Amino acid sequence: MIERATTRLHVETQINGENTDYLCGPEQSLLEVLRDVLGLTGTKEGCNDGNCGACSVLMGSRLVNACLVLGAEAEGQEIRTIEGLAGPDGLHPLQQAFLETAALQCGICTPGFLIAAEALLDRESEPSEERIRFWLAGNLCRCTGYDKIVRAVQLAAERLRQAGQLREMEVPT
Amino acid sequence: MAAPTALRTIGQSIPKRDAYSKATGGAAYAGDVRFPGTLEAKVLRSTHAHARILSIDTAEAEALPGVYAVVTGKDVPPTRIGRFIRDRHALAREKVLYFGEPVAAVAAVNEETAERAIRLIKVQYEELPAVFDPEEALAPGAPILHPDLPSYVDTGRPERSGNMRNRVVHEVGSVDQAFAEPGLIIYEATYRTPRQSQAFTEPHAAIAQTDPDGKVTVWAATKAPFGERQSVADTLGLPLSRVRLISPVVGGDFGGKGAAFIEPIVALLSRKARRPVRLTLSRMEEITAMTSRPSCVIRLKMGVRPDGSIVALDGTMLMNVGGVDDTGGGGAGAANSLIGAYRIPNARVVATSAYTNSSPAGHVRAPGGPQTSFATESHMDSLARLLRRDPLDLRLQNALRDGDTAPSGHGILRNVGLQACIERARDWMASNLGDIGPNEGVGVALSLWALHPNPAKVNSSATVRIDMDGGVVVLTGVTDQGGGQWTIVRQVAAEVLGVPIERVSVIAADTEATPQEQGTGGSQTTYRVGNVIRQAAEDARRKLLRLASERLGVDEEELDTQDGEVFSRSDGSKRLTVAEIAQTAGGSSSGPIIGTDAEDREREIREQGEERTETVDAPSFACHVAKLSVDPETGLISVSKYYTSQDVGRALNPRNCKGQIEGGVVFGLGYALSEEILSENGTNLNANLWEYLLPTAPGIPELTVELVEVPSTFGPFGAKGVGETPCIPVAATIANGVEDAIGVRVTQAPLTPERVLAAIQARGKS
Repeated sequence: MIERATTRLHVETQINGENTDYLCGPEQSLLEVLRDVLGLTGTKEGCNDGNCGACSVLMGSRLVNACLVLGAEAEGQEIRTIEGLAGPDGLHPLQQAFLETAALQCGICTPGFLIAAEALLDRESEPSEERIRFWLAGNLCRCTGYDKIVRAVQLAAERLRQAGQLREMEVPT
Repeated sequence: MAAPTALRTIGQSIPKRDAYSKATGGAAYAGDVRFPGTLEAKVLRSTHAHARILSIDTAEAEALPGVYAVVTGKDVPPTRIGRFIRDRHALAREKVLYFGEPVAAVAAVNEETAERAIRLIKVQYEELPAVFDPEEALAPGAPILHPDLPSYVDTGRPERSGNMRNRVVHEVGSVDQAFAEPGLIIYEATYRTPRQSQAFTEPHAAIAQTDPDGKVTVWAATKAPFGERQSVADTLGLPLSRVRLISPVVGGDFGGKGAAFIEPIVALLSRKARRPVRLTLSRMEEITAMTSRPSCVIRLKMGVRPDGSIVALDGTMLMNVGGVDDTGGGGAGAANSLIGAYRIPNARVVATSAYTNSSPAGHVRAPGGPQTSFATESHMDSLARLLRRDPLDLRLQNALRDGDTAPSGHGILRNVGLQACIERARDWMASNLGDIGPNEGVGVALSLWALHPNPAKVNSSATVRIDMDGGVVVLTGVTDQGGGQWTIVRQVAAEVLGVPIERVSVIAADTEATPQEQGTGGSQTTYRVGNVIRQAAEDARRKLLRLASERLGVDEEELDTQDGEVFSRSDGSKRLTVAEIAQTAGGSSSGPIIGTDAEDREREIREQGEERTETVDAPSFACHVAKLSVDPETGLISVSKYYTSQDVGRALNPRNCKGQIEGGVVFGLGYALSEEILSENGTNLNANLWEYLLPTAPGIPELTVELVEVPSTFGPFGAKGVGETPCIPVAATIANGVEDAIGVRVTQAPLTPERVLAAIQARGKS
């Protein structure tokens, strides 16, 4: 005899710009949904209790640990994960900067750092080093010692500023 | 035209090829491997630190809908498994020896069901007297954890009996006589170091699949797939050929992913369930029941003449290796590292490790290094203070030099880069430290990590083959847990064969596809495996040149390779691409171009045999400097600048070398300032990442890394090991800085605010 599974919720959401719907249990975290239901394994699990930041994703403009958000909470939201960071023209400036400055080693924390840094650069174009360090305090990296990560974020911020200035100059007045 | 070709890829900061997939979320770690119909596993763990298992009732768990398999110690053969000493079973059979030891496991349709099933398993224990303190464990009358210890299979042959896992005695000169020298200044102190978690961000994860004919494949987060294959095969009673271990990208190891703890369990479940089974450990399981750096108590006595020369050292180390031991003896093999980077003519170190009912000890970055360094390098500063000498000056006076006997007592040291490291550090200090304010101070310490005494005689092998399109494929058992090991492999092969780095790829860490490899670690991959890769590439190059020689009508000695072409040094018009040669190789008498390390390896061992017994490569040395301040009200240490100069022999990939060193320093800062597994009656209390405090980005000082290059004799292209050295001396560097800042000596790591404050208050009372 098969015991009935608990009620499943039907969730409609947008993930990396694509309309998506899925069934999930009421207790399932967004992290489980991303990794196990949708197969988006780029978002990593490091602790499953909100202390390592490896599962950082964007929910609208909010930076969240996907392990602390329910899959059901994604209803009607726009979710952005590491799989959606690179654009059609190639890598995001943050990804490019991480590669150039060797800001990753084992890489398990990298998706979380990139998403967290993206959340910062979405808000502020010129964050100080101190601001970057404190913003990234919720993301643990055991390999790099953080220095190269901070440099990579600074480099990406600078490039984004330059690109922004170029775009402003191109706008006809 | 005949000018020797300069190095092309060696010395270049080649980016890691897998970095792209890691930065885009595409890299598949063991926990990302998925198959249709995969079951989720959960482990039932011991709730006692020491108990006899009277019975296990799994009937209710098995009856739960959605449960496919339940396994217990009954499913495990009497053969014990283990990486160094085989002292455990995948699931406890008769007794549990530590809180959290695996007792049973379940595979079910989902995690929730597996969790429910675990709770339905009834285990009856008879509690046994437990012992948690290593000194008490060695005392007469202590409960004995492993009555059959003398019969265990061990990689070494150390002294072992009762709860004594092993004892190593390292002695040179006449210690007692030396301490009796009149006028000798003798200083004695006791140092305590904590249990440290590897705290890799990727927890242990594995997925096992069993073929209908019974062959088992396991994808696991491991740095030692060949060793783990043995443990899985022993647990399942299968020959090695029926077990395949694959290590995909590994999310950090730091010593903790070399032993099979979860892999045999998922393999057993998969065989029983006839479905793929996967398991990812929780952080609580990681810190409660998996391995950590053994805690250590070190008693150290040194005798120094008024002129500063150290003549005698007497030390004991006692390590707690827990209920089962995944170290090569608690790092006791590193006993001689208590002598540090110094020429001390009379030295005796007795290193003992003891089994207790604590969680298992294992390797953590630089096993044995941070413990011994905390003692020796703290002690050196205390000696300098007694003698009113500059601490770096006293170190330099006693530092190992070229021609000294190696700290191991075997062989004469060559290529010592220590003096150069100290000089560079001094230069940096002269112009970068700035003003030293109140409660500010500067700490220094030296570091060393010994290289493999004979890198030619290693349990590694490699194959290099050249594809029909001129591409080069290296097959190696080596894993890449983030250190860039596969990049170094590619660089070495590209250099030897004279092909662009982009044309070299690696097939790695698959027991069915790649040659045997002992495992990645100990800062030995570049030094040791790099040589094997070089030898296999040279073999392939010889075959390539032989074929080119036939086709071009030019003597092999006349030929060279560069940019994917083979050409005559005297007549540049005579050239062929590697692809052109490879395309005809298959039909030639030699067959396809495949190089192995066997020939050169034998030759090199033969040729260098005598030299190697006399000469050993100097350890990888470093000099560390920290500028810090101490808040006398709270005891909080703030490190503002951290400098290290390290001898890497030759930096094959400078940016990766620096990355390793920066990461190592910060790993050491955690050990120095905050990381400590707290335990009560065998239960680890802070088994999570909010109470086990890792370094985070805001607390990291300005880091300066300088690479010193004193090429080694035996490492490929002069390289020495890099990764362990930087984490070793950080705790001592900080403790020395604290004494410089506020005049108190803290002899227990980590230097938490509570400990610093207690030391300040103790001084106030005295």
